[in-house]
Amino acid sequence: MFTFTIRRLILTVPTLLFISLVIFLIVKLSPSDPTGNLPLTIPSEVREQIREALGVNKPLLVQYLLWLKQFFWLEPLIYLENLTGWDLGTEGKVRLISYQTRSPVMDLIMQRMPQTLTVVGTAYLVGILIALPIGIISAYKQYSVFDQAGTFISMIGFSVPPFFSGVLVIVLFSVIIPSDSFFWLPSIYDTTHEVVDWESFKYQFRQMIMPVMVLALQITAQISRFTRASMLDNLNQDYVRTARAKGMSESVTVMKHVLRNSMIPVVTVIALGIPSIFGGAIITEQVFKVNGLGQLLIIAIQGGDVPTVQTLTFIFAILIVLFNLIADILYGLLDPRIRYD
Amino acid sequence: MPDGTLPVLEVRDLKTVFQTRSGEVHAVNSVSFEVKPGELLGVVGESGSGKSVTMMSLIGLLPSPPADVKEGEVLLDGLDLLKTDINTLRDIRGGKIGFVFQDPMTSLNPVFSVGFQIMEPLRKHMNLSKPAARKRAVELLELVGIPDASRRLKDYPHQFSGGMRQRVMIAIALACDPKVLIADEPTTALDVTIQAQILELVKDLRQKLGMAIVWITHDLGVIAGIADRVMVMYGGQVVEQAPVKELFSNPQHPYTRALLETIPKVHGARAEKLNVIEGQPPILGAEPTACPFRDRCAFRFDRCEQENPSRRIVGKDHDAACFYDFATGGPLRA
Ligand SMILES: Nc1ncnc2c1ncn2[C@@H]1O[C@H](COP(=O)(O)OP(=O)(O)OP(=O)(O)O)[C@@H](O)[C@H]1O
Ligand SMILES: [Mg+2]
Repeated sequence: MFTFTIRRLILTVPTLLFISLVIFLIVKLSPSDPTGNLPLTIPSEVREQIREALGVNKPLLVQYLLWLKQFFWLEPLIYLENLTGWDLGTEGKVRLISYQTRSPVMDLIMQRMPQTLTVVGTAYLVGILIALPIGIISAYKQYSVFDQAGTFISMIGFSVPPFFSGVLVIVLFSVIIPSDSFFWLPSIYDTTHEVVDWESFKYQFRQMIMPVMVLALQITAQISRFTRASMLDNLNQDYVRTARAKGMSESVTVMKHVLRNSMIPVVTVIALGIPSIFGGAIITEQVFKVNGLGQLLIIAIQGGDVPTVQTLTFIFAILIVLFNLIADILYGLLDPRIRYD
Repeated sequence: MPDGTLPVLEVRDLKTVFQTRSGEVHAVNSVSFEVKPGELLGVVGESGSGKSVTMMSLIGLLPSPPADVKEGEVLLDGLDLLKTDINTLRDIRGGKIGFVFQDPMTSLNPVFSVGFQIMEPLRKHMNLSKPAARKRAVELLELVGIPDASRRLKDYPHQFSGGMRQRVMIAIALACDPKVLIADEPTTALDVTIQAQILELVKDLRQKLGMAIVWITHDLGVIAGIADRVMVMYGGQVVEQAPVKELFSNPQHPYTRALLETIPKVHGARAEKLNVIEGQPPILGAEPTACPFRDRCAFRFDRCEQENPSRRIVGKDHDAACFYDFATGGPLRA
């Protein structure tokens, strides 16, 4: 298991390098002009100078290597410096700078990470916590009223996109319900809001309800269906009959023998879905004005902010590769039949 | 075999019906049998004759719905299992009645160690502490002939061969010193040499432990080798029941006779053409009102169409459900 993990970790290096090259080239070669959003009154010689200053006209290979160096070497060093207070000599080195805001890309990302993590992370957690019991009960009581209801809700969760369900809940809870009602919810997520006491915590809770609800519906739909299918696969297995023939109670049979087997693929799918916390919530963040990573990506794309787009996309790619690895390792840990060494 | 001793397990007029979308399936129709302590009862019959459903009905292992155990009594030491509450029944499953199933490759849980799976019933039914249960688990594995038992406890089922897994299943079934061991085609999925080893093991264990065994199989050769008494099933009914020697030498039901003729014999260098029983087993959409074997029977006459024969004594400890009297060579006089 250990050597397997090491081997897989080493293998991720060429994978990531290849992905970084592809991302770099695709973003770079797309017809986009970092000065495109500047006022029309700026003369074209000045625009050319701006482009020159941004380094847009350097050879592609130089730009790529510089980006790699900044991403893999300089930025981690700076992060380490901030963390420990040591001086590692990063002073004055050219950081990865956003074309739009002229501030380091990594700082932008760090600023927006918490919003995304609280909203989307909570939604993912809530979604899973709701999905697992629904999936288990639906399978155990297959074709019951509960199962039918679960199927119906999952169907909605699968088929209604967040830009529709998001707007729908806004209309319901922020527009139709009067703003002095207990059930009224704010439609705009206020990221400057700080939790200091019980009242502000309540407000934070209220403003999270809608985005979390919209995202959790999707997640619940997927995970509960998957859990149900996996449970059903296992409930008909011979070993379940053996457990009953040994005199085990229904709760031990289902919650221990069956669940332990059913969770193997479910845990893998949950792990594989975690990167989508960062990337997949782009639309929901737009709808509720959460200024998280998804929104940052959209603004950067619209402004032709190549370094930001490249870096964000590459971070998503790293997360996907990383969680694939984690899913593989989890699979090996959970299923004794899979031995990597 | 022990004569005159009371049976440990007594089944009377058991009826099990499946309610399916395409109607009822009467899988078990008034099955009665008994086993005495230390006795090995062989159960034979072709696929679909209701052997497994009968045994699963005894301890409520059939999923309900669709299964419905409609009538009958299942007396284990005088206690009617069909009428006890579910908790008592759970104590009996894996406690007084041990079960071994057909396919050892799928009957063990792949994600729990073999030791855990043996210790589970021990801890539940015998209230053993963990160390005590572990000690007993090692003894059990040694009993069923698994070498290096204490080390193998922490191994998982996939690390065992098919034959070894069936030994583990037997160890689980024997864990709490059951009074009755029910083995549903335990060797069908194994190759012939392994099958022989398992049979030797069971013979040996029966001598050591003295429990009653119900052994289901299609294989008459196996029956001849280990059974004391044989029960032949057809169409969800018991059609003949006799001590093993008697059954092989003096079969009294046309189905048993046909079954015995299907055993291939080798004359000289070449085997004879295989004998088969023509026709299909019946589909039991309703309770049978005529002999279920009549369509395939060479001895049938009009009465077989009108009545379902009940079991009648045809010899010492020998009964058959047929209107044809092989002793006189003609229909039984009503
Ligand atoms: N869940 C079920 N629903 C409907 N009918 C069933 C069900 N389980 C079994 N049966 C029917 O019950 C009858 C008896 O089946 P059973 O499994 O007892 O046969 P068997 O004698 O054990 O056969 P085999 O030798 O193949 O194991 C069959 O006709 C089968 O179709
Ligand atoms: Mg069977």
